[in-house]
Amino acid sequence: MHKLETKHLLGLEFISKKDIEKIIDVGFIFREVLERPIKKVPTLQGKNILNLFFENSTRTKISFELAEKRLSADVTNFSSSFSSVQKGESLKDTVQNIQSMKMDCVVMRHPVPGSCIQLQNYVDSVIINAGDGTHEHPTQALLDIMSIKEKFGKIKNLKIGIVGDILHSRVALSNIFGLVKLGAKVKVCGPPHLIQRDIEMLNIEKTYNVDELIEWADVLNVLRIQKERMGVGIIPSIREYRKFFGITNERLLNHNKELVIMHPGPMNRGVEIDSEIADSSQAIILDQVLNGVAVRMSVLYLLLGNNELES
Amino acid sequence: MNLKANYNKINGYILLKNGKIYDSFLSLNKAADILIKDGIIYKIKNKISEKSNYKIIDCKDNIITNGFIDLHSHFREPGFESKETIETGSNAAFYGGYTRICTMPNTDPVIDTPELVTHLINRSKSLPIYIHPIGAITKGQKGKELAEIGGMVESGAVAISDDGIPLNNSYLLRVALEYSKKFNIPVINHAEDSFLVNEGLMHEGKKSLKLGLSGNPDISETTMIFRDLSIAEYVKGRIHIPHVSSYKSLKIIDQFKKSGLNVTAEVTPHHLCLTDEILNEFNTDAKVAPPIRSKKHKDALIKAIQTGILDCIATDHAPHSIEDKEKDFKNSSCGMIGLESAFGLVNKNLSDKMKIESIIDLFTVKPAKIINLNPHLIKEGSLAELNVINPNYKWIFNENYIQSKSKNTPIIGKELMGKVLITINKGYISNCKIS
Amino acid sequence: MNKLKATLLTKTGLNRVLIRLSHEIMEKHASIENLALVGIRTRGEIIAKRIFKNIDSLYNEKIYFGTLDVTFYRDDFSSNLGSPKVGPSDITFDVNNKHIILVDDVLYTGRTIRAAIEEIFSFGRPASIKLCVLVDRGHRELPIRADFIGKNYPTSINEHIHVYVQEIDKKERVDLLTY
Repeated sequence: MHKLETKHLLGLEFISKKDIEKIIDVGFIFREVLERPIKKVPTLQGKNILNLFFENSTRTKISFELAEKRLSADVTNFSSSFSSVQKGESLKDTVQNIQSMKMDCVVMRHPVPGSCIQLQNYVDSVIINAGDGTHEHPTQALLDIMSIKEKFGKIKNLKIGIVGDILHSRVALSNIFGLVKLGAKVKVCGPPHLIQRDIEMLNIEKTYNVDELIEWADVLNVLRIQKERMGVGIIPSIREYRKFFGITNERLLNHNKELVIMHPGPMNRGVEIDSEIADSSQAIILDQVLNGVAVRMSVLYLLLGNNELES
Repeated sequence: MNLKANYNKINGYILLKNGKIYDSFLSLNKAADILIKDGIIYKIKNKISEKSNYKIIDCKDNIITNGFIDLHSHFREPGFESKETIETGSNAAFYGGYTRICTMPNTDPVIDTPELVTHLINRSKSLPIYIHPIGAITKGQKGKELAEIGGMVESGAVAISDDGIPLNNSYLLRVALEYSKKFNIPVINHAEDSFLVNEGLMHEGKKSLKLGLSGNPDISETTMIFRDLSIAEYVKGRIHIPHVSSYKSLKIIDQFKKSGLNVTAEVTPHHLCLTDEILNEFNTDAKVAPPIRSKKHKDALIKAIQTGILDCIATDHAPHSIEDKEKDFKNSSCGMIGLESAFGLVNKNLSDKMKIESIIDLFTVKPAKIINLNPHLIKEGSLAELNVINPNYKWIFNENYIQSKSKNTPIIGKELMGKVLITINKGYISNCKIS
Repeated sequence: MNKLKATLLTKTGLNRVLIRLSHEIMEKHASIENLALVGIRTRGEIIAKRIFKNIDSLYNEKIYFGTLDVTFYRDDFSSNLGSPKVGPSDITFDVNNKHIILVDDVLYTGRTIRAAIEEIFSFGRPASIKLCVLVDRGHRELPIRADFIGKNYPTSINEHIHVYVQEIDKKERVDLLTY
C-alpha cells in the first residue's frame, strides 16, 4: 500500500505518474507532522542513510538531513569536492567502501550526469538522486510540483513557465519530465543559446520572449542565473540579462496579472528576480522550502519504510 | 570648377524637373517632376509648373533614386580620428550618394556597449546622413565574451560583427548566432581562417608567384564561410557574409541559400571590378583584406551579383593615413576608401550586363532588407531621401573627388561611368552638380 | 477467505453498547473541562465520533475531539489488512494537560495502542490517557488494557473480529470470522 513501483529515485523520467502522485499525497501528510511540536516520527528508526555529496550544497543537504532525522533514521554525511575524489579514489571505490558499511540508503549529489544510475551497479542500497550535474534533481521537482498542487489543487492543464538558463538546469529538466507526465503544459524561456536545441521534443514549448511567457503562464518558476556562467562570457552582463529576462517589478506591474512565482533558490536578488517580487504574496518560495522537507520525508518513507504486508 | 562637396540646408522649394524616378522599394519607375519643400516631398507629378521662388534643377537624362545604403564602412571615430572622423566620413558618404551608413565597431574603444551605440547615433544627428552602428560580437572584439548585444540593438545597432578579426572560436560564433535570434539581427563574421592566411599579403596565384609576395589562398575564406554557414544552419540563425572575394565561396553560399538558410552576402566594388593585376606596382592602396583576386574570381563575382547569389554592394570604406600606407607592402595597413567612387566603378562594370534599375537596387533595397531598414520613400509627404544620378556620365576619378580625410584608393586615374550629381537627405542638399 | 462464524452484535446491539460507553465515560469524569476523545483511524475515528455525538445529545456537552493516524508509529503491519492509505492526524487542541481517551474498534495485541500513545506524546504531554474500545478480543502482546470496554470476546488466533460501520461498509454489526 505504501510502496512505490520503483526501487530508487533516480529521476522523474524513470518513475511512473502513479508514483509521483503517491509521493506528493504522502508529502502533504508529512506537512502535518511538520506542524507538530515534536516534528518526529519513528518510522525509519534503525535505518542507515548516507548523504554522499560530491558537490557543494547547503540547502538540499540540510533539507535531506532534516527529513532523515525527523523520520528517526541514522544519518552519516560524506562531503567531498569532486577534485579530491578525482585525485585518488574512483567513484566505484568510494562507494564500495560504503557498501561494506551496510547502508540502507544513499542520497547522492554528483557533478556529472548519470552518476546515480551508475551507482546502481556498485551498491545494494536504495539510491536517491540529490542532483546529478545537468541531468536531474527529482526531489526539487517533486517539491515544486507539490507546491503547485498546494496552491491550485491540481496539476493537469495548468500552464507552467520556466525561465532562465534552461540548458544547464537539472531543476528544469526534472520539472519538465514530472509536469508533462502529470498533464501540465510547460513552456520554457531564456537566452536562445541557453535552451537546448531540441527541447520541444519533450512535448513542451519554448519562447525567447519573457513577456510572452508571463502573459501565458499560471505559474512562473524562476531559475537562478549562475554568475559563474558570466565569467565564461556567454551572458554578456547582469544588466543585459535582467533587462531581457529578469522578473523585475516593472515587468510584472506592466502585465498586471496574478501570477504565482517560484524559485528553487538561492536567489540572486536584482538579477533574475527582484526583491519586491520574491517577497510578495504572489511568491510561494518559502512554502517550497517547507514542502522540500515534507516531500523528502515522503520519498524516504515510501522507499525505505517497513511497509511490506506480512501474510 | 569647384568639385569639393558642400552641403546646405534646404530652404524653400526645390523642383527636380524632367527626371525619371526609380524607387527600388515601391518598384516605381516613371518620368515625373518632384517638388520638394523644406526637405519634404511636396508633390510628384508629370510636369509641375515652375514658380519664381522655386530653385529649379534640370534632371534631364537623370534618374532620381532612393539614397544609397552602405552596410560596411569604417569611420574610425572614436580613437583613430587622424584617418577619418564621423564628419569627414559623412561627407564622403553624402558625396557618393549614401544617405545611410552602417559603421563597423573596430574603433577605440570598440563599440560594444549600448552607450557607445547611442553616442554614434547622437553624433550623426547634425549630419546629412543616418548612421546605423554595427555593434561588436564580443567585448573589445577580443573573441572571448559576448558583448551586450541586446542592449546595443535596443539602442539602435542593426547587426553585430567583429569585423577585421575573424571569430576563430566556433563555439562563440554558435552562441552569437543563437543569442542574436532573439534580437532579429544578422551576425557578420569576417570570414578568413587566420591560420590559412598565414600572413599572406595578396591573393595566392600566378601574380603572387611573380611578385614574390606571400599568398593568402582563397580557401582561407571558403573554409570559414563553410564553417560559418554550417553553424548558422544548425542553429537556424541569421548570418551575413562580408566582402566575398572567391568564386569557391559562391558555390557554398548558393548551396546553403537553396537549402533555406537565411544567409545574405555582400561584395565590394573593388573585388567586383578589379583583379590582382592592380598590384603590379606593389601599390599599397590596393592591399585589402580579403585580397583582390584573379580574373577568374572577379568574373564569377560579377556573375553572382547578377544571379543573386551575392545580394548587394558594400564598400568596406577603410580610410588609412598616408603614414599607414607609405610603408613597405608587408607593413602597410589593409584597406581602401570607397564611398565616393562606389557607384561609378560598379556601374561601369555592370552596365553592359544589368539594367540600371537592378544596379541601383544593389545600393538601395537589397542592403536595406538585410538589416530591416525602412528609409523614406519617394512619395508625397515623405522626407526627401534621394539621389539624382547621371548613369552615363563618364569621369576620371581623381583626388579632387575625395571627401574622406584619407586618400588611400587605387581608383585614382581610372575612368568611371555614372555619377551621383545631387543627394538630398534630412533637409540637406549636396552641392556637387557639374553644370 | 474469511468465513462468518457468528454475529456478535447487531445494529441495535451496537448502538446500545455505544450509548452505554458514552454514559460510562461521562460518569467517570465529573469535570469535562480537559477531556478529549481521540479516535484511531479508521474505524476508531468513526466510533469516537458516535460517542462524541452521543455525549453531545445526552449531556449537551461538546468535548475536545481529535483523530490519529498511527501509520508512522507502527511496528507491525500485519493488521493493516484492508485498511485505506495513510492520512493526516488531526489534533487541533493543545494536548498538554488534557485527559485523553483513545478510542478504537478492536483491541488485540495492543501494538496499535502503543503506537497511538507514542504519537500523542509527539503532540505534547497529556495529563492522562485512557483507552475505550468497542471489542476486546484478548491476546495482548504488550501490557496494555482498556478502561472502557464495549464487549469482551476471547478469540483464537485464527479468528478475526470485524466491526462493520455504515460510513465505510454500508452496514452496521460486529462479526466473528475465521480464516
